[in-house]
Amino acid sequence: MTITADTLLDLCDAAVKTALERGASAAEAYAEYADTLTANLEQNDMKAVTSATHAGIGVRVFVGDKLGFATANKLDDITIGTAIDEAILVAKASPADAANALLEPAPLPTVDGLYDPAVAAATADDVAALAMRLLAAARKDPRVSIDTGSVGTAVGHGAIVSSAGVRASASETSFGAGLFGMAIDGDEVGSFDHVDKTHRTLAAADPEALGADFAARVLGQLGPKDGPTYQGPVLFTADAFAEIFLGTVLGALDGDTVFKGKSKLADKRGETISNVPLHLVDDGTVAGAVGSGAFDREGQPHRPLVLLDEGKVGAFMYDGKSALRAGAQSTGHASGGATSLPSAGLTNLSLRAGDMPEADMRKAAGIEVGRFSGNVDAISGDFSGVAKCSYALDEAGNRTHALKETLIAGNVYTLLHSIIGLGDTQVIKSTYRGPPALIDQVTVTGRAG
Amino acid sequence: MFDLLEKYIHDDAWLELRVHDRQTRSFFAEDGLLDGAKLRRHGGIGVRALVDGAFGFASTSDLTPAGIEAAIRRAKDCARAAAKQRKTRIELPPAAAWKNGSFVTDAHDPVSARGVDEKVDMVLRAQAAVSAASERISSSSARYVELVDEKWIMTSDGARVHLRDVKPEFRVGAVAKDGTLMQTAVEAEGKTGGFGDLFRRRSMDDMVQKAAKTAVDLLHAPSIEGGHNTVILAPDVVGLLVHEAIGHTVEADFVLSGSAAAGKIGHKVASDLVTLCDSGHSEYEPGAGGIVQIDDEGVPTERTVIIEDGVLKSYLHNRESAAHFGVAPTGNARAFEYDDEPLIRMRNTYIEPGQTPLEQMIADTPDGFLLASAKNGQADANAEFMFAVGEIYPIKNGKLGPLHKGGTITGDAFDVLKSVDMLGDAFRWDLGSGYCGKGQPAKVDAGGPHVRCQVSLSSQGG
Repeated sequence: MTITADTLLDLCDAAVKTALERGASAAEAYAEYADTLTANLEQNDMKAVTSATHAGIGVRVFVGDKLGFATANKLDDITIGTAIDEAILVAKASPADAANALLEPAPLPTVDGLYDPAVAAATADDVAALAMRLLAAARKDPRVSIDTGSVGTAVGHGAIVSSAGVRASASETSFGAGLFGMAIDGDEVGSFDHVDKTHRTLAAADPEALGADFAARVLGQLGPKDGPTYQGPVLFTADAFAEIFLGTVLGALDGDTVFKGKSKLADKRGETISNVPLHLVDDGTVAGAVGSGAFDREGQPHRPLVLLDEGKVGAFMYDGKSALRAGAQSTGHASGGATSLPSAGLTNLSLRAGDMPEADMRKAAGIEVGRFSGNVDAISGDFSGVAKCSYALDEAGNRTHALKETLIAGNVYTLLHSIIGLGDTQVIKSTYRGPPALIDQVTVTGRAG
Repeated sequence: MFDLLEKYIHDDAWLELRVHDRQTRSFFAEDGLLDGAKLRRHGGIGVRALVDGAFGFASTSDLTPAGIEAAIRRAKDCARAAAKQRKTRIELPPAAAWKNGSFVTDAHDPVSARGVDEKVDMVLRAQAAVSAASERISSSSARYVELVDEKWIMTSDGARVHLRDVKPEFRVGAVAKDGTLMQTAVEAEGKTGGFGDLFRRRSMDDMVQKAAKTAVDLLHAPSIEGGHNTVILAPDVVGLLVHEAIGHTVEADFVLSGSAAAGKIGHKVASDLVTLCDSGHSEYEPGAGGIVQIDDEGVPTERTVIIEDGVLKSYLHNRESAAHFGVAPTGNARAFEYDDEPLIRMRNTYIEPGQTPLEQMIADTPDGFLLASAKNGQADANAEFMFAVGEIYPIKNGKLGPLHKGGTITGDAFDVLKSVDMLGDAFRWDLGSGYCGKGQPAKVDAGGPHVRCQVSLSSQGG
């Protein structure tokens, strides 16, 4: 049987009908199917090419206010019937919760650029050849060692039907590439790093650029020296700033976290939380973007959401359940697939750039942090860990040497009031784009003193 | 199932056929609400083929003859595509010393004997108990997950194995709040077996009370001053050290990429006190969370001595890397589910216990810290590591002080092992909950005795 989005819609229609016949008062079925082709690199060579078909159906059934969920990876009638019976069993064993309810359908936006026939037509030979281009680009300098890497394509279809009237389907493609490894120079083994990039289309793929970026990152980590000890300005790359600072803030803007009393921003709607006008938007309707689609995991329309509005707390993210608990509306942020219950998640995140040239940021910072290997307490915002892929900077802003065993620490919510500036250019990743950040009062502990 | 697979195994290509059926049941309660109750079935076949000197892999959930035949064709096509690009040719490794048959891991008070309603009730009661433990608890949670697996593995060169295994885990979390101060604590257990194995060492109530008390005590606990210190690592932190900082560097695929352990077999990499192993079995204490009787290439697992009396003795191998190094495979090839290709992964990683009671270790430490409650950690190719710990207790003049806020420890893994100067006499597996990540998850465990050594320590939050 050839699986298409329409096939999945029919399966979901039948599953919802069966669930209602077997005792559910309401039901939703979410089905997906994907074909993937991946060429895997290992130890500077081609390792293997893999091909997979992924199928799945997840059934939410409601028995009054009680919810049960079961999922299976086969799409035949018997398997789906068993999943429905199991979901009903779970529902009957679960306590009632007024937030267990389906959402009404809403008009969906049109989002273009999600399906590329060239990706769908790619063969095993094609992905293998692209993987070797990536490898060659990364290893122009033979000191670069690729531990693992991959290039892959995915062609997927998804559908959702609910007894409340939601009915939607979509087809999409993606192309991804990544590398993990380090530089080795004689007896010296440098710090590892990784890069990855995902696109919707084959035309956007640039293995040469990705490979070159990886090589520059790992070669820069050779010859590390102990770092300084001070409390003061640190330059965080776009990745590091997003990981430590935005990751913490986004967790606190999750409607479920707010409802459960674990968010430091719960009672801060409209209040300023940073000394610069951070403007952070999540938008699942951007044409051709990796995180885009017309609808979320509950079939609700994606839409732009201003999370931080000129430095003030903007909106909280809600899926259906967290919205009902908060007495709010879903923001179209239910994420997940056939194997998971819906929960709030991001689509395409964008932090507006500032106005500080990167050269000026480097002159003002003692160190530059490329990546963070440590712990961030999601609730308090305390963080400490090792500055990875990082450099000491001189007064002219030049990188003097890579850092080793240098710790950084602080509190996210405190340091958001110590931002000296945001870079004037956004760095574009797969589902995030944003600038680097220069932040004061960061605690840096290195062994150089 | 073997009768079905037998029809396809005699091919012109070497084939590895792995049928894996997994049932996952997970239940999560938070703040009086059941927030996730899920039954998941995920089953199918993964096919590896060796053609023209390269591997190809294909998977499908379709176990009809047409589905299996299509997967085999795709695996061979993938292998041919890989072969066109490979610089070197892979030769079929020597056959392992197969131990064919049916293997079922022990389970005391099997999870199958309790229904969905009991498991729902368990998480609701546990999180309610955390909440009731103190008026300072602002949020409480409990999670129970069980992985129930059945596998059939057959290879063209003689492996023929059937396996059944269950891995349950249980976790409780507490968030304590006082004004604007908030602190969290988590207690978790992950084992192989049944409820009797999961709660053998600690009852659910023990975990509930510990999580609540720790979160509340951390609210006003002071922070330590950072620096390079003598520390006594609790078994869960030892587990994180041996898994993250050492274990990954000795996985043979990472060695071949140039990890810090490359070229070091026979070298002194730790103090004489240290013997460090990775095992598919559960030495010293039953029910470790990473038990693997036969790996996913059909190779019987063993206790692999990685470091013996301070000397590096072995890497962790699959069949291909073992052939490259001229040694026998160690049974470390693991795939999380049917649609994952087997990779070299750890199982149960540990340091052998010593002779010294913990009380004596503390009494013999003039100035240092006891570190417990391992959080996340990460290690680098150059053996530099970073771990977070949730609980720090200062030791002054041989006396243990009160709880302090957690922090981060860093160092070079092999330097830390060389600084080990005392080992406790009591052993514990304590890292069985959660998953190791390396492109795909894996259930592992790790542990050991209390270990005294030197590390760099900094407080959380600066």
